Amino acid sequence: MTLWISGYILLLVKFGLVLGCLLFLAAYLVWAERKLLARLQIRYGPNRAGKFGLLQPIADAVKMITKEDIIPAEADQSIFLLAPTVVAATALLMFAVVPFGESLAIMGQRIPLVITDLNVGLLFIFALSSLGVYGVALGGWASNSKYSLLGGIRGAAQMISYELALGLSLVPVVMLAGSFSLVDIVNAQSGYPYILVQPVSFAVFFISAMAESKRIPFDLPEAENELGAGYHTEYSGMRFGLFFIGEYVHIQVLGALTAVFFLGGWHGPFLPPFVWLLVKMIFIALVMIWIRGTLPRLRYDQLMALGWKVLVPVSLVNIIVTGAVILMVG
Amino acid sequence: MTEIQQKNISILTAITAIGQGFATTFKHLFRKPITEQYPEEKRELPARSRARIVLTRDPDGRERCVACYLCSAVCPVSCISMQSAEKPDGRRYAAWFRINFGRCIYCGLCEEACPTSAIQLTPDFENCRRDILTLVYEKEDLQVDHGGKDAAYNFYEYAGVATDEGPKGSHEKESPPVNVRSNMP
Amino acid sequence: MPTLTIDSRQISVPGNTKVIDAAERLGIMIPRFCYHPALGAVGACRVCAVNVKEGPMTGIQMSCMLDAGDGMVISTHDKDAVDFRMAVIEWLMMNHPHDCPVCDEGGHCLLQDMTVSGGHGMRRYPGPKRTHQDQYLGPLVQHEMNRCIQCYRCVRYYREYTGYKDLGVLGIGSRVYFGRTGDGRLESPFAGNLIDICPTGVFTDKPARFKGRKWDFERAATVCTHCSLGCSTITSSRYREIIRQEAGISPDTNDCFICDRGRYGFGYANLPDRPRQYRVNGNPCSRQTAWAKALDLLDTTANTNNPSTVALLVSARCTLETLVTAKHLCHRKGWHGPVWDAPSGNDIKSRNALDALAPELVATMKDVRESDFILAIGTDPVNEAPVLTLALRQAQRNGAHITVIDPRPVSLPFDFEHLPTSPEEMGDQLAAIVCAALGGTDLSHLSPAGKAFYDDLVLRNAAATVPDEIVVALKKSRHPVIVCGTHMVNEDLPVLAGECARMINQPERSAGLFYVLPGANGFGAAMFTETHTNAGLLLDKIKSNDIKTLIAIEPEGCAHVHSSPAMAGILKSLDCLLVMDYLESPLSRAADVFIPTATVFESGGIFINQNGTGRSMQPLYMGGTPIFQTGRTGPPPRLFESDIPGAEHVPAWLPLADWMGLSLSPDNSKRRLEILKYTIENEPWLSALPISGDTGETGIKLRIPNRRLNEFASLPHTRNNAGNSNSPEISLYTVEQTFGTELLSSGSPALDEVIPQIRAAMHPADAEFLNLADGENLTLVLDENHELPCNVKIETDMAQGFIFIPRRPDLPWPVPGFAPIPLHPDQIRREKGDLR
Repeated sequence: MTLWISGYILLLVKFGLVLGCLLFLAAYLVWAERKLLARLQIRYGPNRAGKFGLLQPIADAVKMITKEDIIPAEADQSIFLLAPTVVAATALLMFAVVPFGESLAIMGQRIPLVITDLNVGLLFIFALSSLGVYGVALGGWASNSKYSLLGGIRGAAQMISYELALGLSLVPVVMLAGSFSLVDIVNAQSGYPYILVQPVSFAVFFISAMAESKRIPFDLPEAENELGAGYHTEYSGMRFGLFFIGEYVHIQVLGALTAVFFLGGWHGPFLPPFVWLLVKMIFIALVMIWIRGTLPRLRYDQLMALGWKVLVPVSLVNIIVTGAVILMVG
Repeated sequence: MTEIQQKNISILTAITAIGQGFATTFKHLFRKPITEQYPEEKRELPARSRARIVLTRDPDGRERCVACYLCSAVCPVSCISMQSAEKPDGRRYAAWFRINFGRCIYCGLCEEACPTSAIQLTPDFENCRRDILTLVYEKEDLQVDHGGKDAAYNFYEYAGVATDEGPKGSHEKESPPVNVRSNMP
Repeated sequence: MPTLTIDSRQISVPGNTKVIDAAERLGIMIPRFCYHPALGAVGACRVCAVNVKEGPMTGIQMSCMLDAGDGMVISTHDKDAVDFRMAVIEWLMMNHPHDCPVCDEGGHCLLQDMTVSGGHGMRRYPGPKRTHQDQYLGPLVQHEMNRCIQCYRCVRYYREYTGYKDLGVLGIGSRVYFGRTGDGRLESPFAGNLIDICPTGVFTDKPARFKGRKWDFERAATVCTHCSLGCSTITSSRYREIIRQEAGISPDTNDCFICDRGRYGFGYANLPDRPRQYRVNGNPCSRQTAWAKALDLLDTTANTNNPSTVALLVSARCTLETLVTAKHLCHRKGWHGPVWDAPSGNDIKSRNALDALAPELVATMKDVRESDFILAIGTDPVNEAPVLTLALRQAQRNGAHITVIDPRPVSLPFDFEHLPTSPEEMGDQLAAIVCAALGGTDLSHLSPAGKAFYDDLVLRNAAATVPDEIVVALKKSRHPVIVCGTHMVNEDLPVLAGECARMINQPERSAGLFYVLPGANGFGAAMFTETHTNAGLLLDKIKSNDIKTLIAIEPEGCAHVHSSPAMAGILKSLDCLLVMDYLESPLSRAADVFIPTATVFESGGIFINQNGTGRSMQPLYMGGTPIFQTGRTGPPPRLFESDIPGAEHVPAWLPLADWMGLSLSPDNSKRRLEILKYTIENEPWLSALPISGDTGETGIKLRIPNRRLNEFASLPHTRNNAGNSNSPEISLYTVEQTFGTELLSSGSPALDEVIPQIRAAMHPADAEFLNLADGENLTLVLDENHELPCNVKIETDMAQGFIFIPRRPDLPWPVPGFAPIPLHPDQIRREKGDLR
């Protein structure tokens, strides 16, 4: 009984820590992005709220919470209200299967440093990722605005297309690790990170992941200069904030997943495991910002061609090669 | 065959180009930002930059505006209004002249339309007010005591109408008035 | 019907059509300066050049001088033609000053348009420009000769079209000068048209000088309300002020021109002292208070008195809507009236005229212009209906013989025959002319009534002699028109004139009948007012306490002639006086309740002109105190208000409709259509008018009801010898003048300077009898309370036994309606010493 209660309490503590950490990071990722992007463009970025603009995320939060929540007159109300929560929730939930350290032993009890170790963790991630499409597509549709609808449709098409490449790029990883559990995959990389043996897979995964998170150069669903702000044109206040949080949590999740699948997860010398994971996550996020600061947006046909004509065939070939190598090496 | 070759080449050049791009942005990280910190650092704007509108005067210090209504006609936001009238000396002038800077978009079309160089935009752009009525400028608020960008021009020297500037035939490029009672050329 | 090709499009046009007109029919507007539809072509400006590709003469030709010929092929946008026109514009612009910003024509200047559209943007000629001195041309027209492009439109209009001679062309070559021989006011009362006709800014509107640009004006097509002709005008307003009027184009009435009375007479709508507030007992109050007080007073009188003690007074400046509503209100409530407040006797004469106006005889101004014989009887066109003069002038230019039978010193800018005749003898003159012309004609087709009428004519014929050439001209004529006035005539003359027109209307000769009525809506007033009463009788009834309540709606004569103690006494015996008006008058100041009404510019409305053409006017602007007045010459107020200051006025029909219990929409524009619908539906003969109120440019011709069709009237042969010159008495008549006598325009500040001083016109024989010299000051003693100082003007060309003075609204006239006063020589006092 006590065991059960303590387990429950532990779970809640883990929840709280991870959620707090994620949201805090999301807020400061925004700050970091604005700051870094500014420097890439030889600007200062936010520097008025607090030292180095460090209070900017708080100011933004206050602004968004206090702003009027506008619902367009002809919008489909319930769906319009639901869509941002879908986006934010799916992004947050994905972190549930990401391990951030080896099991701890406290008072003789083994505590796994992961919220839940699913044996089909990878499939869980794909499932949530697919669900996230609904947030975008429904948000775009429910706004009853042509820009939003176009953004929503673009988002749906783009995410469905790149999910395929995303999935296929991870097959070699699963083949190498022999498990769908993220904990097992991380443990399998205790010797060397998979990036060394699977660079092609890494590249395909990284590109697809960026497309999944709708980041520049794949931000067609929210292309400011064509569609206003795409699927969230009509959103304001904290509902817009939820989309925003969803996007930045997504960046962290993708950073964490990249770390888990290719960079050895929490493995690393000298530093505690969760710090290693954090460092890797942040590194990936910074690279994404750098890409945003450098590359222009793709055209829609280029986007589709890249997904279907390059990434999918490349990952298929990669699977065959990996399979053959595994068979040969035994 | 050649197509594939070209494609390979283009993929290579594309990758280098992308690489260059990343290098460029990366190098920018270490440059000093060029941003000017506006309220602390103020910059001298060029004379032709377009902000607050003024009514200038001719070289003799008289009002240039003849209230021809061209600026108000051309104004895309209809922020200029006036009433023309005649002075005893025959000069046409604006009895009142009003610009609503709350509406003005500083497009400069009024300055372009002005045949007398009277209405001019100045670089002074800092005119935000909390009370919107203080943005409605009357003629006294608009008038300045100089000729602005075109200091030497005097419309009535060229217009050919009789004013205190001089009677018929006394202006630039005018011959003396015809004597209709004579047929001598 | 020659068929020609212009810019690859074929068109068939009637013979004698100029190429420029043929192109216009195709929608191709060839540039023009000197060409004007009313003036014709002279080929002076050279800007209408086209390239004739095939035809009798190929090459560049002036399209205004070229008759359209069969098989011609013409290009208007051929490079040669375009280059030619561009060169013409450039040389026209060579001397043109750089003063568009200070020129009032800027914005609606033909030269500006042609220069810009012709592509001439930069001046290449570096030499000096020729300049001209300007002239003072009076208070209405501003002169600026530098701008002239020598198209000759002004002198062609002024000398040829109107026939006045004081504006002409001087000099030669590029030194050509259009002006007078010296400074001075232009004599023509049609000089304002120079402003419209000048393609550039040589002649501009002086009262509207520097008041705004065309693009800032609210403009609407309006109907002139300063006489009964109903000329078409275009009115411009800005900042709640009427700025200027231009001539509208209406072929059936004014063609392209209007008189200066119509052009500058709008000033009454802008007057600073125009009453804009409701008043109870002279104290300003709110609309609700005045409205309630008026209702209260009417209720009280209804309860205490017989409804027939309430009288309604209307005038010819009321709109048709007001007149109809007034009539229905009176009928419904059993009130007395509506009474037409017309100058003495004009009401009955107008009714007689309309009774005689047979549909087949009705002549429009166009008919007058095209007629070949005009007999104007009892009318002084320049002074009573100025634009009629222009129509007569056009007929005269086309060779018509024009005779004017009138006692007044009629002056017209062309050759005509004037028979100065006293009102009593005018009928005999007319009868004599008609009899002589009909002599020898087969009259067997006439009905017995017609024969009786002819016999009557023959009887009258014996009493007068007429010059033979008039009879000869009438005999020869194919389209004679009889123009008959309603002021200086006896009551039966309009009927006689109408029947005479019918007599001479024969298969080979289609005659026309043209009445000049008093007031803009004299036609409507005659149709909708009570027939058995008039303003004089009404005053008698007030005196005898038969009328206790008077409701005066935009009154005319009574309002402005009551300053005498007698009139004040009459008004005192009233229990209640309600006045609705947009002018201040002695009557409005004495009102118990005063309701400010809207002018026609603010309310719109229908007016029926003298030939029965209904023309409607849309409201031009909302009304209200002009911004210039609220701002006291400074800028307008900076803060927005929900109400328009001084816009409390209502259309005159609104209170009437309210008292009648009509439920009208509170919305202004809807209400206007509702009352229009009511008006049209409740008066069957108005059913030709459209309910939308849009009568178009030409108006709607109305058929007059109850006209005795094909039956001649039997006139009582009432010939008296009152006009005997041996009588020591002289009749003092008030007469209309172009400026200063018409009520509305006399309040216009623009016309102040052109209103002449009061002069008493008299025949040399009378002057000799009274021992008076021309220009001498004298005082006419009208009665014990009224003296009229004036100045003698000896006119040879008038009837003997009359003194004519202008009928100024502010004249202290002792008799209602300006009825003529017989003067004994004792009543005429010289300034120095007695007569004789």
